[in-house]
Amino acid sequence: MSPSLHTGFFEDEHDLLSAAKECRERGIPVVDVVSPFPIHGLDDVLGIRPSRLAWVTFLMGAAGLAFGFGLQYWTAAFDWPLNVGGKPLDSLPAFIPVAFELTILFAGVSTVVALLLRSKLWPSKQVPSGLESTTDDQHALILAQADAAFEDSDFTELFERHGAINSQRETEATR
Amino acid sequence: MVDATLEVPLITGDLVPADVTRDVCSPLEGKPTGLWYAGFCLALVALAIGGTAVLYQVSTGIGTWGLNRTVGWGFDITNFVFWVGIGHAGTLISAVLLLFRQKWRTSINRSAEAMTIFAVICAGIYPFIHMGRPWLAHWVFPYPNARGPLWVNFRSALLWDVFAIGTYFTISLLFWYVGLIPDLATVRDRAKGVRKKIFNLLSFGWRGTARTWSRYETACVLLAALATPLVVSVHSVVSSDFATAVIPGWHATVFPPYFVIGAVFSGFAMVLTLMLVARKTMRFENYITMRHIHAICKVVTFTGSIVGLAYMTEFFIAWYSGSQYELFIFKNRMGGPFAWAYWTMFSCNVIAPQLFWFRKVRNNLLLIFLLSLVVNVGMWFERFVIIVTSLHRDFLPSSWSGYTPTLIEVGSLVFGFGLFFTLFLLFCRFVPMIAMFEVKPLLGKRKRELQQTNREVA
Amino acid sequence: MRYPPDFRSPQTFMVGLRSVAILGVLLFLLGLFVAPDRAWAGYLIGFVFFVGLGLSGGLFLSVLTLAGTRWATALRRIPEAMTTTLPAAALMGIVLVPGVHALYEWANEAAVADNHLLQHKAGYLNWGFWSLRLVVYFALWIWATRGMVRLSRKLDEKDSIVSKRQILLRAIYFLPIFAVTFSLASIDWIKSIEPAWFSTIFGLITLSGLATSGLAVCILLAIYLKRGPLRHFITMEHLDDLGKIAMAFALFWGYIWYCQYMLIWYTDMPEETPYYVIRSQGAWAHLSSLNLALNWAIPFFVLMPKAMRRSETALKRVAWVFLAGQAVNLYMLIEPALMEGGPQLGLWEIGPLVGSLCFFLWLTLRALGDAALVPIGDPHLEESMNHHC
Repeated sequence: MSPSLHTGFFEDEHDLLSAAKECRERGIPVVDVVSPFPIHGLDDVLGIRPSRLAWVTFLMGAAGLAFGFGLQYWTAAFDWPLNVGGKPLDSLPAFIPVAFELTILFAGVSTVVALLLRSKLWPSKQVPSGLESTTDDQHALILAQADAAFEDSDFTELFERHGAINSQRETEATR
Repeated sequence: MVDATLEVPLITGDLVPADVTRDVCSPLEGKPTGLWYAGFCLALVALAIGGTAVLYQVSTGIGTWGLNRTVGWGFDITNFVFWVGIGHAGTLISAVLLLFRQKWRTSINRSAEAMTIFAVICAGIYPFIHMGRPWLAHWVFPYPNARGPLWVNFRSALLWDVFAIGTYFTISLLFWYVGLIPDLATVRDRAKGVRKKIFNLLSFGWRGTARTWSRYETACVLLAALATPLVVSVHSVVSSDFATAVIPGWHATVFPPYFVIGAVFSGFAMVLTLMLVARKTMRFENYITMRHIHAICKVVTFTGSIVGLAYMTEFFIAWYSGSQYELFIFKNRMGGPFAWAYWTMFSCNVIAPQLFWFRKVRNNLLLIFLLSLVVNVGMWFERFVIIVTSLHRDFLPSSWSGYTPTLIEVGSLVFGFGLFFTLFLLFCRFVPMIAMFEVKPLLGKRKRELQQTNREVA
Repeated sequence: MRYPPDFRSPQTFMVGLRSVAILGVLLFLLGLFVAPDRAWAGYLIGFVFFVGLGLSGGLFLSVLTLAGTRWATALRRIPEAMTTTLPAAALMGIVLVPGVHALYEWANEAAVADNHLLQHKAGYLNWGFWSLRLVVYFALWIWATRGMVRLSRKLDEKDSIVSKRQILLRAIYFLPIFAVTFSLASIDWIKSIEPAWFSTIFGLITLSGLATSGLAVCILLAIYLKRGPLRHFITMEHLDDLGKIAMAFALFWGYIWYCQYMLIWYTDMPEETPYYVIRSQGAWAHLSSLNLALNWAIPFFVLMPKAMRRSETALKRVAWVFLAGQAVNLYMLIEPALMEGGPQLGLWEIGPLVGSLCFFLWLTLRALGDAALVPIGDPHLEESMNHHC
């Protein structure tokens, strides 16, 4: 099987969406879609499952909350109990603000870290050339040739039928 | 039927996505305008003058300020609360309006978030220098130390500030930077040479694949959902610096929500000021349109009215409470030695924004600009009134005093503005000021909206 | 555009609601002879609950219009119907007037004579002015909500032309009227039960309860209609959004509650603290915890996963939790000062409360049948039906 990849460039995201839908119906594997902005409804077409980032946020938020209360009770009531202004050692109402802030801090920072890790993004990571227009105004639909009967011209025809403005064929992976 | 008047478009000029890339990237790629240089020089001068005052104060001591034993907080904390408040509109625009799916946020959220970050930096300066010995500032953090370990006092509202402002700054910065990554990638793909290297470093290898976008959008919604209660908590905590005291005029249960709404009010006024300048100097008239300006004007009038309601509630309850101290403090505010400050605050915050009810005012950019400045002045005075008039005549008449800021204090005020505008102008020059990836999809939407309207009319 | 079928609630259901409402009235009347103080306090709870639900409809309409919210257009008739109960609420308010002496210390001349605080407040807190204010509040509320409902119904007619300006103006009128009168009404009806105590946030305390309970009724009616005549109009997306708003309201409720509690706990001033001293002792303390659980913790955490917001059953249960929460909330706002020796719950409390809730639902369901079930003339209806989160 040839590993060749076929990329179609679209100006309107709805054209790309309809092309991707056809690919799904005909069983042509969609390697990826690269676009300058998120395309509404694409997740369903490509079968991308909803992200589980919310779990990271929730669990780390809970950890932050526990840490916040733990830190305050331990320092203010156990390690060095101090009477300040006649407030009781168990000053729950006064401990809520800091615990809350730490909840948000832990949850927010770990959401961003998880996003970067899961998406494999890091400073100075190199990007392959050839898709520069996709950060400007073009949407690229990258298809793989899974069926030898489906030839280059068929790909070009498919792209053009859906309003692609350009298409190209590559043999090495663009990832 | 509702009469078929077409709505004013959000983005004007019949732009296509490529235009957005070009227009937004052009300030980064070309030479700045003369207006930018003029503004930047002015900001630097303010920064230098203010910086000198701050340096002098730090090296000499806070005796250089006009504070006394009765009035222990003056310009310093006024400036602090003022700048924290300014920041709130940025988070509100980026987070709350994202959750409420208000499309008009997209042209202004990037710069509003930048405003938040810079405002929080400015705010942080004041408690820092107010410490007197700022080189011991790390003592506010709870870390195992050789002094016992002596821990910080978690029951103090001032310490809550440390955590609230610290978290607020961190989350705002992350939210802003995550929002920037796709646009930095756009700049990277247009750049050459060293610039390309720099933006390659900054853009984290962003490509915009479907899976990444999906995860990215989830992360943005999650961050917005965290930032929304956070922003409410921050000014609530700031308000409790006052409200947890027993001083009449400071201790009011309504303070937390009242401070939050006042912060939103002043922040939106500052957004208005900055956007009017930015659209003119950076030529963003097609992106920051009359519809954006009208929307902000409405928010300013709405929040200003709530602030007015809060003033009246406070006064009514002061009478209703039957407490002579409560009533005295409000009478003293309205007719005492600082009455001029009270009435400046009242007319700037409650009366001035009501002018936006008139269509003629809403369509006059110069008037809007002036009114936004008026609101900024009013909200600065609100904090001044709350802090100084509540303190200067306390329970013991023999300790009553006045308060006159020294030049050094005025210098510290100037420092804040100098720093803020220096940072903001640098931002305009080196970072894409408009979230390109959020504006681009609106263009297609605009096309489809037009088609739909045409169908409806037909 | 598909038209929704004409709506009429099942006859047996309506008869049931009406019977319970009448039973509530009878219990209240009986209570006036057996235990008048408790009957009046129970009636006050039912009355405030009822008024809050009606007003919440007006608040939602006004805010939705001013924010230009389109997704909720298909649901618009629900808050509209809720506001039509306000004239009935006004009648209930007038019934309350003779009960002033049983409920409020300031209406008792002997008590005022030897209390300088009450004398100070007598200019505001007196029987005549209090009753006059009650009438004025209702007159303004009925006027302002009627304007919105009438205009919306006018849009349904084929050839009517309504300008956007008119719609906006009606929504704008409501807000300041509501903000001022509702704050004052909360002082008049609830806060003045403990006349020495004061709190500037009180208007928001009552507002947060109004918002949660009003939203709960909206959710219940939306699900009821979604399972019936509006199955093609109200979608999962609407429910999801209502669920998110429910979370936001729960958080708001908890925030406002905490603000008042924390600041009074922290400063510990003799003018303010007695309010929470009663509420944190004995059985009242448990009710305080229950109050927080029902209005903040349970709704907020239950609705956190998306799957729960998209489940009709879960949403319905949360709505009932909110309604129970508002009952406990009002009980905790009103009763601790009136019931010496701990909380009591009997027919005199349950009767007026359940009766007024049933009366409210009966009136609202009837009003839903008075106009098309969705605003068919609204240009944003289609967008609302195709709304996607």
